[in-house]
Amino acid sequence: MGKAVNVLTKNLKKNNTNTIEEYLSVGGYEGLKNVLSLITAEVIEKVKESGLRGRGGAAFPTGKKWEQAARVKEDSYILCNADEGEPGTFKDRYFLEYDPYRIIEGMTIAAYAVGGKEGYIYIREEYGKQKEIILKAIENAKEAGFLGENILGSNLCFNIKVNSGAGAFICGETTALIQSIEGGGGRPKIKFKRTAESGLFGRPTLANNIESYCVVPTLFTEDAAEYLSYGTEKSRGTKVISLCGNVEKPGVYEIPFGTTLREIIYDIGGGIKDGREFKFAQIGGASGPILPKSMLDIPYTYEDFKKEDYSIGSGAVLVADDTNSVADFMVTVQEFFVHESCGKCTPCREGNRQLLKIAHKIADNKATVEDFKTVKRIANVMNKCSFCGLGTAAPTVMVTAIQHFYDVFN
Amino acid sequence: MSKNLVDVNQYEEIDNILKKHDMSKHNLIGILLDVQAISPQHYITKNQAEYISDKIGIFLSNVYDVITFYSALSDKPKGKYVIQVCNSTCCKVTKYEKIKNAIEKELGISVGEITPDGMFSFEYSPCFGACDVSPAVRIGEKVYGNLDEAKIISIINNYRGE
Amino acid sequence: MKTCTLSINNKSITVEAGTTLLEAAKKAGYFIPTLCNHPDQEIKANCRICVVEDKTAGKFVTSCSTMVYDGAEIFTNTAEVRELQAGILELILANHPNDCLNCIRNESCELRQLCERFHIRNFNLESDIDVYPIDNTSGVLVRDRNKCIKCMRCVEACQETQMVGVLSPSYRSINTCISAGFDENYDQTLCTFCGQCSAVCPVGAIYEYDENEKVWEALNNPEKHVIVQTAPAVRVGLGEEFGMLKGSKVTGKMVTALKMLGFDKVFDTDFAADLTIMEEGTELLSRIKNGGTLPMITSCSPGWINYAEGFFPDLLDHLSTCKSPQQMFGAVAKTYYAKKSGIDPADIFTVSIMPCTAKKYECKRPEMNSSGYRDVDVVLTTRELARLIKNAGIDFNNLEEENFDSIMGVSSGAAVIFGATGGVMEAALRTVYEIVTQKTLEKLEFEDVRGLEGIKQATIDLAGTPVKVAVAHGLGNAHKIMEMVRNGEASDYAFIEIMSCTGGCSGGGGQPVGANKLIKSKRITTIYNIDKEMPIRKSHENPEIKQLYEEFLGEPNSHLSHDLLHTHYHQRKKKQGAF
Repeated sequence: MGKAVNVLTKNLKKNNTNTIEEYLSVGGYEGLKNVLSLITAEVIEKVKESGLRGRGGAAFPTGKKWEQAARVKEDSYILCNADEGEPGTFKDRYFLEYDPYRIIEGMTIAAYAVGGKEGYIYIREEYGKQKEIILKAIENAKEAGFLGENILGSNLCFNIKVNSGAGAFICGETTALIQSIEGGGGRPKIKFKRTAESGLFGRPTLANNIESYCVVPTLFTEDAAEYLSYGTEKSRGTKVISLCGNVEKPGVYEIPFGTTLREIIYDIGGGIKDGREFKFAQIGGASGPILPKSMLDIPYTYEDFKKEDYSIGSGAVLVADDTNSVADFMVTVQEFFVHESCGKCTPCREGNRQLLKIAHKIADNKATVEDFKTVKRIANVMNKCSFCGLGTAAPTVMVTAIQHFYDVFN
Repeated sequence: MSKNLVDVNQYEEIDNILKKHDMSKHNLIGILLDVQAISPQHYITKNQAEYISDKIGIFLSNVYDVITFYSALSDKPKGKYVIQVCNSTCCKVTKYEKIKNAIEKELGISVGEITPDGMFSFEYSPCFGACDVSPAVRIGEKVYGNLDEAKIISIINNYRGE
Repeated sequence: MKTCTLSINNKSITVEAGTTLLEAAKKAGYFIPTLCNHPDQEIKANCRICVVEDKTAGKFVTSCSTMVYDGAEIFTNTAEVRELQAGILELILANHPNDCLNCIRNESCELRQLCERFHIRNFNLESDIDVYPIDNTSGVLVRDRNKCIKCMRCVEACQETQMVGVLSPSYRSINTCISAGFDENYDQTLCTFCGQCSAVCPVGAIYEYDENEKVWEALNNPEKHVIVQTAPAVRVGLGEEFGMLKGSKVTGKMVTALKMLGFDKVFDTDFAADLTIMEEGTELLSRIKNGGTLPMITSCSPGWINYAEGFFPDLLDHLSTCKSPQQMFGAVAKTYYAKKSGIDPADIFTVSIMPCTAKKYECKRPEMNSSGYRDVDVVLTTRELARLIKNAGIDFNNLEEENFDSIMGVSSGAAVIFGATGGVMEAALRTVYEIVTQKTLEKLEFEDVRGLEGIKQATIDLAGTPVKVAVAHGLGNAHKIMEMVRNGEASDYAFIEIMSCTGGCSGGGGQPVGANKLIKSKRITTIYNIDKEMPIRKSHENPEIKQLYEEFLGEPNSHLSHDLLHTHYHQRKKKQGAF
């Protein structure tokens, strides 16, 4: 029986951490306090041991990223990617709205561990309400001495600025996000050096997703034991997922890695709404695969998804019932990518354009066998030659739809 | 600039916005969002863009790039209230089309158009993270979710009433 | 020097560390296809067509942006790599108008050359072509955004190299287009018309406004006396349009071709360059002596003049009042030459062959009519002349060589080096030195002002007085120097030469496309070689120039010289439009 847990998300549903006092009263900032008594190498080691991987979708080992940033002598900018844009994903919104101090605490721990004095939270424009909340939280934290000079009496000095996005999904990609903070269009940039060495304003930068920062304080409190008791060897701890679509109980849930999709959808999500039948689920946002009923027993872990050549992505689990058409869904996804591609590189810009055309043909029942071959061909070009992850992942829906639902199209 | 003249380009307010953003090129997006926010029709004019370009030393072509690259910025006027219907994956499976059709019928305009009285414009939007209350619309900064035809009409009427 | 050993297509090769896979492959004997790559620009890696397989890393990478590393196993032309490259080409073609048969760039188009390489037989993508209006109102440069492949080379040329900033990408995804902002055409902006955008564009999306028809009309009009002048840099670029080696000297053939086209007289802009030196040298000495505005800055590059008027209007007093050689020629042709030949100037039609697109703008300036008529009627770029010659069916490669006509055809080595960055400075120094010191200049070459470094400086000993001079080429470097002038940091300079295009006129926006530093160097080397071989090497020794002053102008800066050969400048504001 699949069950959601409440370690990272313990403050989310209670909506009781608007003020610093409230946050402290539920054990907030215990993590930072403990961190300040460790040397930075120990902090990074603990993050590495936890097996934490980037929770935004890229899944890069967080500890390794922090280690790379710490190795650079110069101070790093501590960048928080709050540009949550993958359709079907809203978990970061919850943290911003209901547990903002956790984000700040996580960033502060990072600043200590890798050496940083300035932090940036890049928050999508559509989260205006949440932006006001985090701005207030930053102000409160500073007033209470948890930001600014000599935090908690230590040598650590750290301040956070908040930058707004302006409606571009591509700005969730780190180099594009950096271009955006620097004042330009969000077009990804070539990385001749790691972001850890050269990122925002050409300076060393540590960039992580909100959820990644939210895991960090837990690793340094008593909750760490419970957190690390969950999951599998290769996917430790929990993932905060956004469950939505045609389910009874859409929402943000924290699930131990290893929970199956079936458990997520039926046990936690209450099953398909209005008594309808499951048709497919899209995992990880618009860039993620669509999976048929036969794959419902796949455990939600990095390694099990990797076996199929998939990724769990952002944590979105979007459920579609039998009132939906796979072909129409493909059109929706392709329209999204055509809308959001930055346009810089040929495979993504032109590939998405062509895939949309074919998606329409498939939805209109006018596609030929040749068209399906063309999808494969274009998908291959996009997978292997795109400038960034958007183009690489964009064909995933069409490819997996054809893989799992080809009969439907005939 | 004489205070008696009507400053249709709102240059004085723009000066304040520029000051607030330290006259910095890096803050261009924040500047443009703020300038757009003081426009009743939610857009930035060419004159305003040229003014900003001169004041903070960015080529006009680059200012235009930022305005047109980002969906939240516009160089074309919109309605007083901009209704954005999400047409991404989650709202697709919760049938955003019903909401879209209801709005079209109620306002008498299609997606991408502005009502003749300039009160409402109607657009699609990609996912804005309200999937837990899907299908959802955004009107300005406010998000309305768990919609059905009756609810969206009632919401529109509330705006009409203002 | 650290090296790397890797294998390319199973062939081992050792190269310097920091070499790109693209460059390494070239050394190994393989051409990897490219489009956005330009040797003089930043690595962009946005067309993606240079993709190769890095077997060691287990992935496909763009060779332009990936550096070599020890033990790399790279494959540039396996079936899969070629399929990916062809796929990218197809994607571009699906968005590209099928206009090759008519396109102005069909011979030199880099996209078409790739099609030649890939020969895609089964093109099954649906065509989706843009329909933007064509920007052709400037009469100088034309933008056809429908052919743009979004390589962004023009953006870098305009924003970074030239720092004019007219072109920028706008919108995103399939709506990405290169724009001046708010649908402005070139002529509504502060575009300097330097044409560097057209020089780097791989396809027919930006090109010169072709005025060959006007020239044909004049040539075919029996009532018109059609004369032509040719700029120094044309004679080292024109041959490339006929498949000759880069930087080939084709002066004689060029003159023959022009005569065969039917021009009544084939004159040389170099003659007028010597004239410019006389006027400008005198002006410089006068400013130095009488406390005039210093540093004085050259004024023969119209792209630079447009830039100064638009971006540094407060410093226009620094500009020499001398017209460019092109315009001096025009004024002299319709007065002095008309008189001496007994031809009514109203019947004289002056065509000017230039390596430059901004010259088209220059000849149309309202003030360029001191002869009482348009001093210059039409300007053709080197590229247009090539098309004119081909259109007439002339076998350029096998022509005999002929000489320019008198009385405006003799020139010095100092004149021909106008085509290289530093050339105007050197030419002026050769004359000024002898005027001031009253001695013969032994060594005519001023090496300090030669070469492709962006800003060059030298201190010249002029009869015991050290005189500081500077040379800049490329408007980005002009910007740097002018900021110094504005801040008073250049007050100890006497004379500054500024050319709008990198390399000077040899790298002009109207020269054969596809030039890079190496090619420009070759053209420049030929120019200096021509100089070395000329019988006369100093402007003041040009007998036709002496004759012009004796019989007509009187002396440099005389009243008549001033009327015909000098001009004034004014701030350029946007929305002036074309004339």
